[in-house]
Amino acid sequence: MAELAQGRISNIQLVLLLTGFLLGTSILILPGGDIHPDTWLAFLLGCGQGLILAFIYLALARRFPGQTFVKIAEAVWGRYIGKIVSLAFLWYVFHAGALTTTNFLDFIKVSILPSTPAMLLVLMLVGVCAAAVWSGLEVITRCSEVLVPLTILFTLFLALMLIPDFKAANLQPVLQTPLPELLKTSVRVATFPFGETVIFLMILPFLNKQNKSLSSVVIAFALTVFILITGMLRTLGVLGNVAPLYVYPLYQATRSIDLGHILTRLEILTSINFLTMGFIKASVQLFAFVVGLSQFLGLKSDRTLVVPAWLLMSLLGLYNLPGVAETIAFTHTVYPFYALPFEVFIPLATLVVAWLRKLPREGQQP
Amino acid sequence: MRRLLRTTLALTLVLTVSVFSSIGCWDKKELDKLAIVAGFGVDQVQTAEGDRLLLTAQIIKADQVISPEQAGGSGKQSFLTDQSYGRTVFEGVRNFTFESSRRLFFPHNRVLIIGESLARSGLHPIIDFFIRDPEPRPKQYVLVAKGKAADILSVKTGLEEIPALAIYELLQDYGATSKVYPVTLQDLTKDLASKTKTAVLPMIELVSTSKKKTIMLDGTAVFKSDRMVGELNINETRGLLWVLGKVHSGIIVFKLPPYRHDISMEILEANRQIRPELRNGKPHVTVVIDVEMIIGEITLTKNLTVPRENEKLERMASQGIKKEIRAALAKARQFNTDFFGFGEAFHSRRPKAWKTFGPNWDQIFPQLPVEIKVSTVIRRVGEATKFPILQ
Amino acid sequence: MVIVITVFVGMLVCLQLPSLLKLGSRRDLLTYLILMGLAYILMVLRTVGVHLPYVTSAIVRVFKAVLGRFI
Repeated sequence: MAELAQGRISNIQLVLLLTGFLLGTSILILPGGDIHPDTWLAFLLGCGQGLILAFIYLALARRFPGQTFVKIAEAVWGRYIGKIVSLAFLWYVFHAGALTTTNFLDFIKVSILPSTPAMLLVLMLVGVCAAAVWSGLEVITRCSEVLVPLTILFTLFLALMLIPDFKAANLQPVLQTPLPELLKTSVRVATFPFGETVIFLMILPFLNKQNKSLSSVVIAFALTVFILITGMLRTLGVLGNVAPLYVYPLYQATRSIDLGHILTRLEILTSINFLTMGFIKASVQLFAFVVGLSQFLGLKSDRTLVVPAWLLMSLLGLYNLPGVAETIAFTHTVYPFYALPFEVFIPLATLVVAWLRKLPREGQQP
Repeated sequence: MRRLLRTTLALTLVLTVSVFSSIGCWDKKELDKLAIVAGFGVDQVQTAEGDRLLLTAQIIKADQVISPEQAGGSGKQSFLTDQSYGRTVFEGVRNFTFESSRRLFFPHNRVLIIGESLARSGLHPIIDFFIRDPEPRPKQYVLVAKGKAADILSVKTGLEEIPALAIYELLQDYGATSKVYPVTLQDLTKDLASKTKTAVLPMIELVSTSKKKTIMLDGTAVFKSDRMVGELNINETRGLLWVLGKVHSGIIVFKLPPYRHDISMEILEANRQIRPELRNGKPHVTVVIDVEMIIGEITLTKNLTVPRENEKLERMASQGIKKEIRAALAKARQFNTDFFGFGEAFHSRRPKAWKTFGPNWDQIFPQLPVEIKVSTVIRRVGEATKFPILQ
Repeated sequence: MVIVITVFVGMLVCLQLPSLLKLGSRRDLLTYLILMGLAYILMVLRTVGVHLPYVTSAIVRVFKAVLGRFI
């Protein structure tokens, strides 16, 4: 049908792509919230919950191998309701991409390039992602093959560098947070970033071997958790009770590295991590949106939409929220609820209805 | 033909885009437009318009430092001191541009000095800028000046070209005596954010003799919440450092009765343990210090390097250390400031109990029983056994 | 500034138009033009100074009204 949808990726590539996606903006914003020092525990719980969600998505993908969610919705819900469901889903994908862009933009404006006009900056940022999307899924995946191991390397390196500043006392007392708080934060983590993998319902069809993706997903989740928890432990270990004070705690903790006056200013590595992972995440979201909308509209070529999507996502990236304070508040409080229908209800309902209707029927055209 | 048109168009687009995407344009920082700040001071002053903050920036003159022969010969300073006023720190920073053609550049700032009167009236209003702004870095040292920070920053000292760097080196070297407690901005932020641990900052003063002025580190300022409430002298400071586990080296001097001469012991290593305990449901802290020492200087003729005498020395040293710690503790009780971090110790290791008496730490702390156990071991005795003059 | 945006968008469209026409699908062409038009208008409005509403803020307001207690 169209050039973009021809890509094929292997399982290992899926792992790396998924990890890059998950690390995306979370690598910068977390830990976030006030429940130091048990944040990392909430994180593990959130990952577990996210895994459950992932099972739902995989079950759906397994039922309809080779079909993106847009096609699945149409098959399960019928032409008209299916279109509505798809539209809602696509809006979510688009908005999520714009949110990633907003986070991206905020960070760059705060710490690196404060005076650059936002419009230009955002067009450039999303432009790189658009170029990747234009080149196809394989290219994005290959980027992640290089960038994700780099991020892992940097994270471990920085953790090593921070050992002198690490104080175990900062991580205590353990398990003192009241359960409701812990659960609240874990749910928040489950929706962001783990629940966002629902977008991969648009990507899984392009796997080489269908129906073998469970292990890849689990590995990717595990990898992400490992990286994020490492980052979190080192941040909390260094900053302690001050961590919630900062907008970007991981970045701030890295600023304290100062070994022999030579190895200083290593926070640039954190910035690189964020930029690269943010790029992957935004590219995946842009890709999912473009392919999805093309299928929704029945377009002849997927590439037609890349440029308009680029411009529109940049604009929404600018126009999501008035400022950083609102963005943080949104991510912490409203987003879990807002994402719920898209990450949980729609996929779950689709799966249930498909099961009830015994779809896909034997011999049915995928 | 069409291909040519398309290619031209594409190229134009790409070039236009590249021009705009030298996106660093807006945020470029050219070296000759920057005033690199090495040391920064904040004071409270009265001006014609009322209360203001006086900001002093010690700026490195990069060209001067590069050629030391020139500087030494011509006597030119490799730094200059600039000042400005403002109601807040941020306003003051921007106000520098009334005088100077360059923007202040903070990432290389090594020391932040706060005037005493300002420290006494509260740190929070001035510290926020250094935490919030992305330029200042967390590992810069913070000090309180006895008197005015502005005076401290204008003094040229001994071996270092730039005074701020001199102060920085002084603080780095604190281990030689372990009677100074260097505090970074990061440490300060953490202490200010703590509910029980109070902040302390090293103090620096200007000493003028008839010939010249010099600066000296002297003592520690004690804060309650964000206001300075008192001082620790250098021995009490070391008492604090013993408990914090930050003593790296230093000299302990005492007399071994019944002799009247002084003995100097050099500290090799000091480990400390803070044990927060509950006795009869009441909080109790045991501080255990293990010290290893070397005999540095014996000014008697008796041979003290035998085990029997060593034991006496060790006991005396332990007494000396206990005295320092008790002195610091007395001051902590006097000001009701828990700068040892005992509260945090309970919070970390006895969280359940902490929930009950944590909120009342202010009332509990002055009465908190603290047991101090010091054990000293003399590892080495130098290269001599006794003073080589036979009497 | 508006001129810059017009030129910019114009160039983008010019570059893609031939391939779109060659594709022969009216649907593609129409969607492309509509979406590009939308983007163009929004960009111009923003440059001119018209204050466009913040999307997510609207969402936040809706949720706050419904779930006042949690937020």
